[in-house]
Formats: sequence, C-alpha cells, structure tokens
Amino acid sequence: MKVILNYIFSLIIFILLWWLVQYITNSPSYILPSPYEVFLSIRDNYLLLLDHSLITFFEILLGFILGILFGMYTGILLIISKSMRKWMLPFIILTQAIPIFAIAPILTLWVGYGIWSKIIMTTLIIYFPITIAFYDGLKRIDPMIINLAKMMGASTYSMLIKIRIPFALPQLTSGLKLAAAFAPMGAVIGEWVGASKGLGYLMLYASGRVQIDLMFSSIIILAFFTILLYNLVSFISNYITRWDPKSHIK
Amino acid sequence: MKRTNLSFILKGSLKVENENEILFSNLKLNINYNKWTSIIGQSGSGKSTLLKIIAGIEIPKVFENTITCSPKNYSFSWMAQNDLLLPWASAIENITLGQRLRKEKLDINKAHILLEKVGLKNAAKKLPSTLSGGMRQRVALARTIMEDKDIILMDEPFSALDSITRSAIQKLTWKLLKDKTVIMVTHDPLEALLLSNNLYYISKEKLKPINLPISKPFRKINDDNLLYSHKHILNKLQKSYIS
Repeated sequence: MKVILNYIFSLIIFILLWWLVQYITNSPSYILPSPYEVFLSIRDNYLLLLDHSLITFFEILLGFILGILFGMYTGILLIISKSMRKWMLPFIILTQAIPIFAIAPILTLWVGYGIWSKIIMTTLIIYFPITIAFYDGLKRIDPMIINLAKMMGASTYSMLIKIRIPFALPQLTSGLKLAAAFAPMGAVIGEWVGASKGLGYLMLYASGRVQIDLMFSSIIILAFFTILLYNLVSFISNYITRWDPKSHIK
Repeated sequence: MKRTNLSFILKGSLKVENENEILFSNLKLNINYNKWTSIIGQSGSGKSTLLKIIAGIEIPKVFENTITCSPKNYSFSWMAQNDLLLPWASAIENITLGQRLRKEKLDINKAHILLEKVGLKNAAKKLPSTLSGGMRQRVALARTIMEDKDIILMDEPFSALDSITRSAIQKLTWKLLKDKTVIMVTHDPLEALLLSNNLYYISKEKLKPINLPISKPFRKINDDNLLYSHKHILNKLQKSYIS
C-alpha cells in the first residue's frame, strides 16, 4: 500500500512539473502537449493504444522470460565448466559490445517484421545483466559450504539445486530488477527498426503525423508497464530472498 | 580384536606460495577411536589446512601442496568457527541438510530430538538470521551429530563465541560427542586442555605430542594440573614462535 501511495505521490509531482514546464515555456501542443491533452488522447484512442500495447507487452514478457532462462542457463554453465568460462565469457561480453541499434536491422532482416525480432532484441538486451548477476552470485558462495556439502555426499545436481542456486538468488534478483527496467527498451527499439504493430511503431507513426499527444500517450503507457513489471519482479524477488532483507530495494 | 587407534600419514610438504618457509612436511597423526585429539598452533601455522588435507577437501590456492594423505576410506563431518548454516533454511532443515542432499528419507524425529538435546526445542522453524551466534553453533552441532560420520573434524568451532557462551557450548559439545572420534584444531591452549584426550602442537614442520594432566576431559578449569599444563603449553608455543 505504501508503495502505491509513493507512486501516486511521485506521479502527482511529475504531472505538476510537466504542466509547469509547459505553462512557463508556453509550448504549442505539437511540441509539448499538456498533461490534460495527453489524458484526452489516451481516452479518445484507448482501443488503438490497447491493441498496440498488448503486442508490445507480449514481446516484452516473452523476451524477458527467455532472457532469464538463457541467462541463468549460461550462468550455470560458467560455474560448472572451466572451459565454458574461458570460451563463453568473451562471447557474452561481445554481445554487449555490439550496439543493440546495430543488431536490430539485421535481426529484422533475418527473422522478419513479426514479433520474433522484437522478442530476440528484448532477450539480448537483458541476457547480459542476468548472466553476469547470476554467475557472480553462484561464484560468491563460501567454499567451505561447498566442501561441507561434498562431505555430506551431495551430487553435482543436488549441490546446484539445493545450495548454489539459492545462494545466488540475492545477486540474481539484482540482475532481474535491472532486466525489468531494460526489457521494454529492447522491444521498442525492435519496433522502431521495422514493425507494423506495437507501441514503438505507434510512437514513430504519431511522430510522423505530428500527433505528439498520441506519441506521449504511448510513452506514458510504456512507462506505466515498465513500472508495473519492475514492481512485480521486485515483489517476487523480495519473496524468494525473504531470508536476505539486505538485498531488497525499498 | 577391534582396533583402537588410527594413523594418518601425510607424505609431502605444504608451504605458502612464493614463500620459502615450509609449514609442515611428512607428518604422522595418531588418533584414538572414540577419543578427542586436538592440534594446537598459532594463527598461520597451517593447522586448519592440515584438517582440510585429512578430510581430502580442496585447500586455498595460496598454498603449494604436495601432500598425499592416507588412509582415505573414512567419512568425515565438519564443524567450523563459521557455523556454515544455510541462511534460507530453518534450523530443522539445516539439521537434515545431509539427508536432503543425498535424497534420503528425512528423519525428522531424530532431528527434533537432537534439537531438543542442544536446547533449541522451540527453534525448529527459525531461520539462522533470527538466532544468536551461540544458538547457530548449537544447530551446527546438531547437524554434525545427525550426520553420524566416522570422524568429526572441528576447526576452531568455539572461537567466534563470547567467553560465557563458549564455555556453555564447549560443555554441551563434550556431553554430546564425548564418545565420538574427534580431531579438533584450536589456537586456545585452555580449550585444548579442557577437551582433549590427546594433544599435539605444530612446531618446526612437525606435530609434537604434549603431555596432558592425568584427569580425564571434560577437565575442571580450576584444576592445578591443568593450570600448570596451560603455562607449560604457552611456553612451548612461545618458544616455537620465537625460533
């Protein structure tokens, strides 16, 4: 409840600042629409916005889940195999060295204009923070706990499931929170490069027709969804690491 | 006839990487079954590492180790200064950790009995973070007993506790493990004197035996012989440190 009140308070401050800037600069609505104009735009175009939003939300969610799965899988590979650490780490860093804007057109060319190029973009953008955070968590464990488990006769699998992964959860959840904030970026960049649906596409479409209020509506809905996703991830993270309150962001 | 003693033979040497001084080489450690054997030495003498070599577990990479230890066909349990409890698991889950890792049927009854024996009857569902240092070490003790291995290795198990708690846990540990085969390393001569049936100290790369008072452990702290031995051990340790 307190979190919701905090967000409402922040939202009121944000709207006031927005309205103040618009009032002081006296900007026309095709440069900076007022909060009220954007509210009207959302009300008038809610079916259109809903249609495009659902596509983008689906891309973000699926990309997010795939990114988590691939990232965690890579983290586990890195911890259990020395040769993987040698070969995979440079490759993982390479995925971050290439700007995501450069990959987007190639992905669209290879996978097509459909949702998959956007899902892959989302997956790619969160793969790095998830992998590194999880690997870091898996690595940090006190070696004596591993030794203790070995003396107890733990197999590699039970060690991973019952000891290593739970220990890595606080670090993983840091990666998940970062990923929740980054994931929408991947989907929107993908839609900018080539799409016929989605909030990113709608932003470009509205901008091209000087419907700045509609563009702002898309941005606000995307921001709202990002906040929602972040808080959902944060809530789940806090639950699975309830034994480690230090890792919680409040 | 049942054997009453066992010798661990450690062939090779151990030294800190890039340093000339050898910590120990070619050792023989004699222990008696169902008795407590202690090894005493100051910090950095390699006593904890010696325990790890006996257990056959990985030692830190800062050491250059050529030691091979025999025999190897014994099972060990480990109790350390750090309780090594899993922070997300309750006291009872920590006690049954070994069974859960081996995917055996959980003996929850035995775990509860042990928890009662260590004086934590009402803490079964509590997380380690809600327990005091002494209580956590009691859970670690219950976990060690639950495992019921051939030899219990203790790496300064009481050194992180305050003196009152330490004394209580020492008594409790002795009460519950007095008939077990224990090898304990410690830097505290008094602790070694209170608890040991056999005592060694690390000096000039070797393990040397120290005579203990005639009385049996758990010895009384105001025993004159114990106080005399304490002074004697301190002298020995100081001499080995200076030389």
